Amino acid sequence: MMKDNDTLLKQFMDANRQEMADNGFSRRVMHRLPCRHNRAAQILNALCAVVSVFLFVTFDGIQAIIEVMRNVLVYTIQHVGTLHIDIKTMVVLFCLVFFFTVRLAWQHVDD
Amino acid sequence: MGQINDISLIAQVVAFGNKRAFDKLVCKYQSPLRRFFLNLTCGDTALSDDLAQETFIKAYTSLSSFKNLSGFSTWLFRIGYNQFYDYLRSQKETSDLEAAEVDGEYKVEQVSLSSKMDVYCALKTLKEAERMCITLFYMEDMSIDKIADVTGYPMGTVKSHLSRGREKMTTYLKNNGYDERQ
Repeated sequence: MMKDNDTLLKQFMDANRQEMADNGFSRRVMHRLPCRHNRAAQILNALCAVVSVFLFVTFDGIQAIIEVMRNVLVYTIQHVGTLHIDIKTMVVLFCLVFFFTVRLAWQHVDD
Repeated sequence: MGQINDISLIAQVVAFGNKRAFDKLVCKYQSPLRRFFLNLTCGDTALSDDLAQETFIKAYTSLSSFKNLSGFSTWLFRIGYNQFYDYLRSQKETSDLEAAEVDGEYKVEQVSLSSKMDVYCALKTLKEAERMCITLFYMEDMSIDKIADVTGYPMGTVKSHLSRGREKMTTYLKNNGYDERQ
């Protein structure tokens, strides 16, 4: 008796099981999704930014940057004649930069 | 394989905030989840879509707490189950008289509709817990232990809800000539 009922109900439910067409449902869900912000990560970022600015100011960061740039410039001018630029390395470097830029842009469009 | 794919999509959402991966999960589970709500609400399409939408949003915001103890679909249905009971609780303020009036109108309307609607009329004869268990067992092909995971009922309770629901539904179907139609 119980088996009969089970079979009857199974047949009935199978006959009435319907696949729901999406009809824009998932698009509506995706539009309503909130931004995922990790509060701990945000606090850590802010903290690191504050510490970085503090250290930069304390150790006279601007002066250090100017000095490094001047040294690089002087070095480049002095050695410009003896520099060997490897084309292969430059192509690989360019490809990598291009890839990461596109990926970043794509992620930005996605969000 | 499907479960591994789900976990990989969840990892992408949690680690990289990849919304496209979550979109894939929504597309995959929208049909069973909406059908589940449609059966629980006895055919109220707008309400079931609203509940399904809220369920997906809740799943998205708490995805990092997913532990994969019983699979993504069970976890999602568990959220859906809570969502449905939250909705029922919020509707508790409506007076019984009003509900009876609405039920009366609803029943008359449903009886006059085609046999496709029989399933909602039949489900309407069940209590909420019975309807929940019957829907998950027969419509979504869930095992008894998975239903226990979703609803939080002990397995024995799930079995007795199933047994009572099965009896009520088959009585309704036989009384309405479904048995003879086969």
